[in-house]
Amino acid sequence: MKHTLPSLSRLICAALVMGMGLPAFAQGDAGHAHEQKAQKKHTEAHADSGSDTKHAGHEEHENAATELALDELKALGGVVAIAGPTTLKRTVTLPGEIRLDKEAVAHVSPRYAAQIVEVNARIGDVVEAGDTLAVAESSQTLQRFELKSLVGGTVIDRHASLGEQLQPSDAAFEIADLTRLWVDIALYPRQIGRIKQGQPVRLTTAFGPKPVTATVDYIAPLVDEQLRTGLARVYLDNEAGHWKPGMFVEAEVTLAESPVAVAVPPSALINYEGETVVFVREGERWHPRPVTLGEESREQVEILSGLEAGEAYVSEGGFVVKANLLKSELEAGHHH
Amino acid sequence: MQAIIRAALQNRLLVVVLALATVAGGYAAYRSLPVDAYPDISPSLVQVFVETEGLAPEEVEKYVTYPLESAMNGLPKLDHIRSVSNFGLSVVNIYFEDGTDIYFARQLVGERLQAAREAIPEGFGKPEMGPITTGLGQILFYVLEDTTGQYSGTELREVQDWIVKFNLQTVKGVTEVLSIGGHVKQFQVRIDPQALLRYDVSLPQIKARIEANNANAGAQFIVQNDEQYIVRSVGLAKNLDDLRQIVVKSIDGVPVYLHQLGELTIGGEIRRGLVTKDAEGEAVVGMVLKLIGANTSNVISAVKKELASINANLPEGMTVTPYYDQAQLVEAAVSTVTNALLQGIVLVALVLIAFMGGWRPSLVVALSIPFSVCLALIGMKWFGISANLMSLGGLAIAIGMMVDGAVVVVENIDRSLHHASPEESRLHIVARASQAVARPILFAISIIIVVFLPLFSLQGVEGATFRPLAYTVSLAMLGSLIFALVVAPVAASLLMRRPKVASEEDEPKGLIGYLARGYQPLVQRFVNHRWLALGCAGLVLAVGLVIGPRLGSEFVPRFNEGDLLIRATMAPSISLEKAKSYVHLLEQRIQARFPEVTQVVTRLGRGEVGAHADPVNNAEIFVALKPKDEWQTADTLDGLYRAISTELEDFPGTKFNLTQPIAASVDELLTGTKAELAAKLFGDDLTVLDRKAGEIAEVLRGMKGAEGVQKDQVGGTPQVRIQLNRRAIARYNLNISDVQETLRIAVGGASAGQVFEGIRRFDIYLRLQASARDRTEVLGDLKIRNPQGLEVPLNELATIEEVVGPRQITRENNQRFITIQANVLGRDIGSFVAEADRVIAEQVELPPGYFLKWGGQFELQQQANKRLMIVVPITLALVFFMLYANFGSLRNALLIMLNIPLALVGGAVSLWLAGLSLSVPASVGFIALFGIALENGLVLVSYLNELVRNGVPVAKACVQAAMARLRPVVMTAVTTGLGLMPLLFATGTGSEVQRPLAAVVIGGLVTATILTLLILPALYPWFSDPKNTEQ
Repeated sequence: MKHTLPSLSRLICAALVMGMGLPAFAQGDAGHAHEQKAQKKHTEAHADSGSDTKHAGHEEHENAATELALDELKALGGVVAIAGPTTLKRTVTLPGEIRLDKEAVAHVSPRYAAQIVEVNARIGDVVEAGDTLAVAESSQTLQRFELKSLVGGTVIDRHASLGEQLQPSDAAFEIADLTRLWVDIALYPRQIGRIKQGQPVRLTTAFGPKPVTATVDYIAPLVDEQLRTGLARVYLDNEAGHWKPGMFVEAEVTLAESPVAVAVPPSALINYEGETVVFVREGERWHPRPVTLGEESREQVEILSGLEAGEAYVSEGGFVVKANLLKSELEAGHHH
Repeated sequence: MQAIIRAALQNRLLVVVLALATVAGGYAAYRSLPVDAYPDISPSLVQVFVETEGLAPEEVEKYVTYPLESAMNGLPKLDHIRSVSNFGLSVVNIYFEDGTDIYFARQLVGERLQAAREAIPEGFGKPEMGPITTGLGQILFYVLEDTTGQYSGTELREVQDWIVKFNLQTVKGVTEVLSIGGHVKQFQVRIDPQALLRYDVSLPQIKARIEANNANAGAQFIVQNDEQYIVRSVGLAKNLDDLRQIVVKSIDGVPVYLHQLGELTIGGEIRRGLVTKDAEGEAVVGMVLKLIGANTSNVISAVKKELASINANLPEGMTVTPYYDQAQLVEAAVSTVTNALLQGIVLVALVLIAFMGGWRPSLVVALSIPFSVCLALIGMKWFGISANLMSLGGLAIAIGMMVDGAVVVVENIDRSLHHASPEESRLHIVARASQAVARPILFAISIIIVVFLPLFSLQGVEGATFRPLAYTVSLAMLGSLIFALVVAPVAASLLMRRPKVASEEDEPKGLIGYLARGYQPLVQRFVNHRWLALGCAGLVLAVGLVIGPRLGSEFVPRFNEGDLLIRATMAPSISLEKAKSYVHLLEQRIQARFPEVTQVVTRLGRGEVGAHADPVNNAEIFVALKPKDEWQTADTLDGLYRAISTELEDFPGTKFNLTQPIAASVDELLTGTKAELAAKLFGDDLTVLDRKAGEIAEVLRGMKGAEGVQKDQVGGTPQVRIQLNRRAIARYNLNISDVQETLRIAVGGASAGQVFEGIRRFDIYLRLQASARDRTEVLGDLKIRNPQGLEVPLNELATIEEVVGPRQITRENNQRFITIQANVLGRDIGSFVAEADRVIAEQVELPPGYFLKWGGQFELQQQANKRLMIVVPITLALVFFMLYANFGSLRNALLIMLNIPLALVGGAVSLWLAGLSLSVPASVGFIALFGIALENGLVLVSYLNELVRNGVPVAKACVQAAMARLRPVVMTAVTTGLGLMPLLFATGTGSEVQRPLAAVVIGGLVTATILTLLILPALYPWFSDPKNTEQ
């Protein structure tokens, strides 16, 4: 930063003539002389051969590359992986609720208006078809008759109390078959078209039974007028009886499953200069390769172009490479 | 004048008492003076900080910075306003005119802040003024350590905030203690989004319930049996369990407790910075800020004492240890100058004895030093100047000059005593001798004081740096004037004896005798061959013309603080955690490669608001070094700088800048740019600004002499932009604010009251659990509850995209700008700027409303130069006028002014020989030279005039006068020169600042003295006033 300063000599002349003058305050600050030294470029523009042809559309990044030792990358949390094929599973998670299978609920009602004189079944009892649940006495004939279950299942409700008068229209018992339940999944407008019958569903609940896998069995033909949500339903097998109606579940519906040639974890995708790139190793250097994305899941993103199977790329911690690249560019006085 | 001397001699007791009183007063002043390392060069600045949780730079600018700026516009004495809108933080710097009282400025800002508060929307933060301190205010940093390894970062921070800081803040002179590192304790409620659906509640409802179930209340009093009982209801949550039991909702009588909705834990606040130490992981650190004007040394020792007593009361296993303080620096800097001062006094005393040839006159002259110094100290106290490198340096510079007046008086008295007839009384001789030289002394010293006037006119950094020096020099010279005219005659009359045998012949004795014998033929020859004299003068000037342009230049030599600060800048989008791993690696590397490093403490990002506004990609690595003689990598600081720079050069993804703690904090407060030249491009649209600045940078790079051209990084911060879809939101019967409120609480979190533990208070922080908000993808799944009870996912209501936004927005005087920095090498900055202006106008098309302004160090220097261009000629004119007034002769005045150029040459040559650059201190040296060079000439010429007036032929008078004045001229030159020698050879802290000054004066003195003794008598006949010869 030092430079010669002619003003002193000029001023000496001036002083001779005029008797006045003062050395001009010189510019520069030695304290900062080091900044520039530290900014010597050590990575710079680099014309690379090899795979250039396949992404000719992105000339801007062709020259950019940076050197970064593997151990340094690893010390800063970088992970290197080899690109390869995988199976992509696209899923969506939706809230659902366990319900009674309405098609498997039976009522037991007296044939005539009658008074209950004996009650055999209690709520929660498991009954067989033909079991006598209660005995009633007809109000007109005073004859006793038995109220029998038409189906096998669990007594989930009972209106028949001893001495109670029941009309034929009253349900004395409600019997439900709990071995099969419904899982009603609310579909937001965006999902309505995407969820289809037959798609696999994984059901999980916070404090309940272990997650199970089932399939979407039914899609409601109508959308709720109030909430504008659609409905998908899973017929859940509940032989073991772990699931209870009223439980809240998370339903992860697999929309599609497809094999892809190259996929990377989302952490490998780095936003660099307004483009999505993957850092690929070519020789000693890391190149930011703009990539075209295909299908994506939570864990993997398909790469349509920009990365070939077998190439080494940074799958995690690509930021470290990006930071190094930004540094080199700044030092090279290169701007975009 | 004569009257003064007479009065003094008549009241000798009074004079002695007053002189003693001055010395005593000086000592008292010295004891009470604030001591600093360096003059405080911070501008008159009031900083206003606003923390706005979670707001992006654009929003911070719009909602916070702008209202603040507009409130501050038009304040009296306002110089300019500069602001930075960062993520979550707005810093508005309000610069006042130089010299504005800081409390006055703060009061003005405080009044306007009221209006600004109203203009900032509710919930966007409250503006707070920064601490009442300066760039030099960060006097002590300490680290709170856990030796047992059993405490968490949260616990350490709690102790720091509520014990250490709490107690330190009570120390007198401490204005603020800022914490950084560890985790600020919080009661965190992390909600499970599924639970919200399960229990059908929303985040805003939960927030309201927590707030409604955590309070104490008073209910006046009741009177029972004539006694009064205060009624107080206690409902404050005391711990996590109390919070867990808050009922959020009740369904058919079944309560839903808060703990059913998620996890309640004690955790750390969201932070924007941390501290790591010695590659061992995180630490908790406190920064002690000094109140403006407080005595640094005293405050530091008080703080250290307090720290010792705090240490005794800390929980088992915790210790507080200071790792940086300015005490050593202050001590080192002050001892550098005081050593120089003392050595100077000793040297001067030796010279006096050697030349005076007797201890009595020497003692009288030497007494002038304590008297002048003490008077200067009293003056410093009066003007509020702290004792520091520059002000004490001024005294050191003046040591040699202080005795000059006394030398002339005492020398004359001494001579008169030798020659006087025995009948004349001693008192009378003293009076006569003093009166004879009183007038030239008055003028000579006044001229020295006058030439320092331009320094008072300096503004800004140079002003703040060199004004203390100008003050002390002027005060000391004033002291020496008083001493020479009042005290010296009295002291002489009391201490000096007339010689036992009055010597008749004019033969000088002692050292000066030898000199005189060699000198006489020489001066005779010069007087006889005027052209020889002229030739010599011409030769000296020619040497100056050759040397001058070869001098390098720098602003102010770097002041070695003894500690190193490395500023590391990482990629703008880096996360705190990632930055931490970078820093860890860095610390490891520095410790492994540099054995002279004893400690490394890194501050990453910012801690408590008040001192730093750094984003998380900035790290300041404080490197403590062993004493210099134990270094292994390099011998000099520069060498170490180079070694570290080289070592770090290839460190991945990080740029480095090596500086020192005080320099760094002062730079931060000053112009904001450290480069010589800064082009500021003003305009509205950030993208346009960025693009155009890029173009300008490209143009500058292509220019001759441009070096290190760099454009500010404005972009590069990724944002997740949630663009709300108004129609969708309306369809679901929602408001924009419903969505934003949920988003704010769910993702950013919200405070829902506080938990009190005694006086310690901790926020209750409500937020979704991390897995539900930590990725762009999952944000779309956030549910917003509509009045119908439907939980609508966010991606039904908005488009979520990742974009890159501005990193920070800088504004000056209400306008956005970005800076292009450059250094200019090998050419004059003025011409560079002119050419750049032309080329930019040709090649870069700026849209309307966009304009370019030049600034940087260049701006400051230009201002300084402009000011000096006016003040220096005025000063010289004033000096000329004084000379004229003294001699009543234009010719004499001109002859004396001739001293100046020859003195300048000597200064330049010695700078060159010492390998120093032309710098501000060197310029100050040149200014001092003017005075000294003139003084000698003045003494000689006035005696010449006297001789000529008494009828001695001019040619004879020239030699005679030169011989008679040889002793005082040589003595004043030698005392001044030797007085400065210690500064020239000092190696201690701060010596680098004074060295150029000393070099210039010493070199200049050599040429000026030779000139006075040889050339001036030779040229006198041409310049002698005909009036004198006639008489």
